[in-house]
Amino acid sequence: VIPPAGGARTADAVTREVLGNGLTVVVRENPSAPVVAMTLMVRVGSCHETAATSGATALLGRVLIKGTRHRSALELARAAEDAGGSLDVTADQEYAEVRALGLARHWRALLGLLHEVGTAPTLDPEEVERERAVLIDQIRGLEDQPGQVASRLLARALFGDHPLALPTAGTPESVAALGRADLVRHLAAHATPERIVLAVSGDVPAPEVLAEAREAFGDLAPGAGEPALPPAPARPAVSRIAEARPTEQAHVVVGWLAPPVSHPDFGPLRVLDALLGGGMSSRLFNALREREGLAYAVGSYYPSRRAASRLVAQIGTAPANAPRAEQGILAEAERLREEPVPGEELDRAKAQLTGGFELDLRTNARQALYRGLFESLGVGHGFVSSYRGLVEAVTPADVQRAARRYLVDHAVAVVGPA
Amino acid sequence: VAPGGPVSGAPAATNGAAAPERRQLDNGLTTIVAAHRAADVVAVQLWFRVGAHHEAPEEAGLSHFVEHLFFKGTPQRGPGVIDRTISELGGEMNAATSQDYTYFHVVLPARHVEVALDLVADAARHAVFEADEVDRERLVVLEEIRRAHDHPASYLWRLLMRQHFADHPYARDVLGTPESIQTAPRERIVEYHRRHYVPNEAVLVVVGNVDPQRTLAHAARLVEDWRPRPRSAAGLPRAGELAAVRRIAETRPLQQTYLGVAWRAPVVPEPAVYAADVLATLLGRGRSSRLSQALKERLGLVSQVSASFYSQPGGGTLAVNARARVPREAEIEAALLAELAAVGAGAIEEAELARALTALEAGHAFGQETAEGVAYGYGLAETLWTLDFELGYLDRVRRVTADRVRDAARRYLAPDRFTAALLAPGSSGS
Repeated sequence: VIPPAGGARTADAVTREVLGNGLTVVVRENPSAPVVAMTLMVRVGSCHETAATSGATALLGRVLIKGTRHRSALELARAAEDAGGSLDVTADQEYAEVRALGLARHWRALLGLLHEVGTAPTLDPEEVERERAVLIDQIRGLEDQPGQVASRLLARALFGDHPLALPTAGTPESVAALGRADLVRHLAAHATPERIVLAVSGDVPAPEVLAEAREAFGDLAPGAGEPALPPAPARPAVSRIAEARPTEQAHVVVGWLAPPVSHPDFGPLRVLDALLGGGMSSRLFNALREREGLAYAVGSYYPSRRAASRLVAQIGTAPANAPRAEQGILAEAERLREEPVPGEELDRAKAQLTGGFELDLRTNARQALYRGLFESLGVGHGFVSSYRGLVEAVTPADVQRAARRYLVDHAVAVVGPA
Repeated sequence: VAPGGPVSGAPAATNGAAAPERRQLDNGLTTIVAAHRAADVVAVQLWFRVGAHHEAPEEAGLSHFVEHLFFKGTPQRGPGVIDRTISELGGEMNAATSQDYTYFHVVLPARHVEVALDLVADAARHAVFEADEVDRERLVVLEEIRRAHDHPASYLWRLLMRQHFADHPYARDVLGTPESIQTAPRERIVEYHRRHYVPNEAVLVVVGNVDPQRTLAHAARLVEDWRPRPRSAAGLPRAGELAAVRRIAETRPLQQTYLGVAWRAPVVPEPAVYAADVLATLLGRGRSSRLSQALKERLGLVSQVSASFYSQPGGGTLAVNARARVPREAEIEAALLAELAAVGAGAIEEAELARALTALEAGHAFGQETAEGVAYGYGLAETLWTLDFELGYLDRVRRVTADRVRDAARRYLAPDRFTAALLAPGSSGS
């Protein structure tokens, strides 16, 4: 998930409460459509894995929703669908979530499902077998997409043997070796209340949702503390990785190490990212697509992270043009280091950043996701509102300083014909 | 600016939101305006009844090419000005092209609705297709074609549709071919635009936190001088019934096998479209659906399976798509056909039917969250069918009975008349 941040348009009716055991609950009342979205987000992800346990979070998530002490996999799926929705899981680098969507009138049933899969999963060995096979297939499916392969290679180049280099889905080899005992251990070690956020947005009564959440999650026992990650690397481990594939396009990604969401440079770097490759008036889009016609898809992203992040520019282009595309990306990075950004261009990038986030925040699913995520990242759910100020305060000097500090040592990954 | 896929089989209906106001202007342009107060934004969409099926062989891909060029400049607004204006206002724009329609979409803070209307109306009437812009954009479209080839699931869908609609205009790729894009002279593009992008074949939809009457009046003034022109387009034939099983297969270096199977299906306004929607939902939308339970959970044959229904004017399609780890396509196909036969022969329990109807209702409810979601439902329906179809959709689909679903399965999902496409691991080739 890459939240471009921004500000909420109005003062939403949002309630936040931290239960006695440390679990955080955020509820947003939104009567505009008869639907509800909720996420049970846990601060655990591939960054808490090792090469040997790579994919444990992803596999655990899949197996969680395949049966509880009270219901089978099919009964869980039916219960969610009877509520007009679905029960899904995501495993990312720094967080994992079980989320439910549905018609608002069924919010109690949906919350009950999250509670059940979160606290009483059976982790049936047969389901572990089945989901292991499905997860390996999913990894192979990602390997069939050259852009995905390039991202995976770039993470390795940037982060080396740091756990942030591990792919979120794991590798076919690591997943094949994971057993039920590994999942039980992973769940017990990481899914503790102080690392859990329940975020709800929809046409629901907040006091009742809170009461129900206290009842459901209040008696979870606190955990033994959160493991610290190894310090993030100061520079890329490897400057270049290439992999030959008989594709139509070469997929080129260029990345830099970047600071976490809580860092004072997050705002300037997020604006820099928008200037570089955020949308149809960005520099990469204009230089490489509009002027040179090198690509259909070109852009950049800078995900919000708790420990450490990366700024990545990506392009898919005819194989013969790959060197020119790479040079073009590096030339734009250099220009950001060398020249202050004109005020008008900066204003446009800020407007696009904050406006885009406001548009994105209109659905309940995104509200629940972002509020849960920002709580989980340690900046608080209100970050969806305060972000506007953070962006608007950025000056041309801030952008140039951020460029000089971060757009220095880059790594490149290229996937395409040899 | 993405190519549009086929049309959705389950468009959002609109029981909850303010009723839309539909009016046809003197020049034939249909306008639909509705208030939507969930957020302080407005969606402005301009739909045209033009898509890949209108293209002659030498015009392959021109609808999509025009989509790319549409906002590139007018005498009043040079290249890049429209993109920049929307960005500055904190808005977003997009567009899509399909076999049957093209649409342009702007969403931005509601107070700027007049700016959005100005931009869209200016581009619609005065897009210049400046020669340098055309040649630069040609390269972009060629990259888009290469990119689509590298994505196995979308490539499989194109293989399937090419074969399913062989001998029908729907067989054409919306993106065109590298040759057709490479060689299309500017004059051909301008002429194509002049011929098809006329107000009498267009629908303007505005949904958001706006005053409908004022918005409508402003829009009407802006397009007053947009002259109608009768369009002489070849009629769209209805795709004929399949007489047997059609197959197409390709291999390339992949780790997974991708399969698609398609049948002919009903077309709006045939009453069977509602049952077809329920059928697709019950078969392959959601974890508890029949195909997911049988092929993925019980038999372990696939890692992913889904079903869909598209009601395009030239022919409806019920389709099943799957991804699998080993090339056991014959086994997968046999299991799929067995499940389909079971729907036609066996009982559909009330709970299963209710679950499918709830899924369709929820899909509609989630579509109501945003102004563009509502606008899309209106625009699609008015462009391809009628706005009333959209407005009455949910009530009609709720009346579908288990018998109707079973009838639809028997009638459409024949075990000996379908199209099957396969993209399997191997060295590149067919």
